Amino acid sequence: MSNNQPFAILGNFTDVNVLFHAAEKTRDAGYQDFDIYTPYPVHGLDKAMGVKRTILPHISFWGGIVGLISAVLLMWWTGAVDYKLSIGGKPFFAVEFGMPVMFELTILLTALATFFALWGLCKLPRWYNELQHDAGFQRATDDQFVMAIFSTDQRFSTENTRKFLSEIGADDVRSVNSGAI
Amino acid sequence: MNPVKLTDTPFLKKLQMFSFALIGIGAIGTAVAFFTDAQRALAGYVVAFSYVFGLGVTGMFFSALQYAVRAGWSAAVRRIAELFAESIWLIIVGFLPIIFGMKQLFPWAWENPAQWTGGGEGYHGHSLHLIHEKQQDFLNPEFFYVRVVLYILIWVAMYFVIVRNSIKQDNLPNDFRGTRINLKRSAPFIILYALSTTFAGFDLLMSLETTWFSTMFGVYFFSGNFVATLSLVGIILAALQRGGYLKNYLRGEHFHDIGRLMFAFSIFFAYIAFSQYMLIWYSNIPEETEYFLKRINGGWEYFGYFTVFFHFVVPFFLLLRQDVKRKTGFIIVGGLIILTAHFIDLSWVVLPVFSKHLRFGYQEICTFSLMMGLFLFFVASGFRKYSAVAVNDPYIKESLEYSA
Repeated sequence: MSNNQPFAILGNFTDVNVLFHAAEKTRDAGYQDFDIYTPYPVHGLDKAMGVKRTILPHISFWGGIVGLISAVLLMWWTGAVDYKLSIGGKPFFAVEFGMPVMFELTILLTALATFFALWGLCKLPRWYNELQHDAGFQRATDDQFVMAIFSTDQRFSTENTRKFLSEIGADDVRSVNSGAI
Repeated sequence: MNPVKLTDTPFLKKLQMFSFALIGIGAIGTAVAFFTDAQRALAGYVVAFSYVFGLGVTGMFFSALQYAVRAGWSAAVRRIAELFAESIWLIIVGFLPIIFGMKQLFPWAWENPAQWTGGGEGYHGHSLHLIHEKQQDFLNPEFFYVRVVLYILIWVAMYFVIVRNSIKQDNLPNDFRGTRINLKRSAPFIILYALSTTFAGFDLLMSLETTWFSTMFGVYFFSGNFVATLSLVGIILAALQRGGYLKNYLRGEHFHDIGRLMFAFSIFFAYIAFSQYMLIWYSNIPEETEYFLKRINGGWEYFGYFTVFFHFVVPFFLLLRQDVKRKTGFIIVGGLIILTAHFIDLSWVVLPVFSKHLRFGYQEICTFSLMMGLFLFFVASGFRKYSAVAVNDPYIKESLEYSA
């Protein structure tokens, strides 16, 4: 437990327009390690926050390529190398009948890569979150927007960040300690 | 909001000049082709006409689809597809050459199909006679006329309900009667569209190869039409956006959506085309393989390879990235590639019926140029008369503000 350093500083917003400008100001102030929790999807907020585009599509793409290659190898090696069976005079390996398997395995590995990469990128599964016992934070599932600036951010300092959050229009600015129950 | 009229804009002038140029070149070439080899010119005409009526009718389907699913995003782009249907009169008249040239085109138009001349010696399978007897109830000239009249009736009705109601609204702010009618009528018209284009595809394209049949053919024809229509919508939207005519209506989001649809339906086309091919390859029955045997021999295989690459592989990798779909330049390039590939694909379906060996020259290109020029002329006249955006559509505000 680091002394005096809280886990994060939280502030609540009630107006989505104020939240938008607050997100832009936080981004422009140079904060990077901060997050906003909203009860519903707010379009364009990721841009206002300066969130970088996810690398998830690239993982999906390479998952698909791996699936395609493994399907070709599977069909070719089992049919034409390891255990040759002549069925209806068909060739041992051909793209024509290999295609359904290639298609399916491409899709399957794309889906699996996407699914597990998403879990990894979202740091799931996660059984405990430091913010979850904060009463104000729970409003983020109801009628308010919550901004959290984490102490891991380079620009973080308890005093200044508190002041900054109040300036950009947050109500009820408060610290949350890690492991505090 | 005020209608966006493009009358007297450089865009419209360019479009008209382009269509006149296509018509001019096409008309001369088609006339020469017709007087040297009428059958060959008619074969090229079937390709060109199928292409053009596919675009025109599928434009109406696109609009009906947007109504049926209550789509918000498409209100700003829907009108472009609706204006494709301005070619409805061209489509109606366009059936005439096929009806007059029926004996040249279709073996089933003859009392005894062996009398049909085309494709060279012993070209149709020996089973032609047997199959022809069983098909006579469906494939005979009289019933063909009835079906053509039915298609025309369906498409004209679709034009007057879906397209006209949408256009009428442009000058009637806060009057949503047209939209209400279209919301109700769009779903039945989608069913009628599906039936009419499927059977038109059977009649105009599949019945050329009288002894061959594929239950996939209708959806094969549809998937090609739909992706071509989306591509042309995308190209025209991108050109309008680059000219700055629709600055207040279009954003990257709309191009993203059009690009996604082009991407998705080029995959869909590949899926359908391959499904048809693989089942025939695997079962290996003579009356089915005859179709592909002609098309993977004698030089026609290059048309097949072209289709595989430019109807699927190239658009797939070109339009895969998210940021690319938002750029008008990529939409134009991708659209032109798909439109070209669709022409090559239809040629690959039709032309091998009439020639064992690769035969593709000014005749085919000129008939296509003529029909495409006429089509663009009608689209341009639509732009001259009507607004380029459905400005009083109740969904237009949603379309301007939505984000994907």
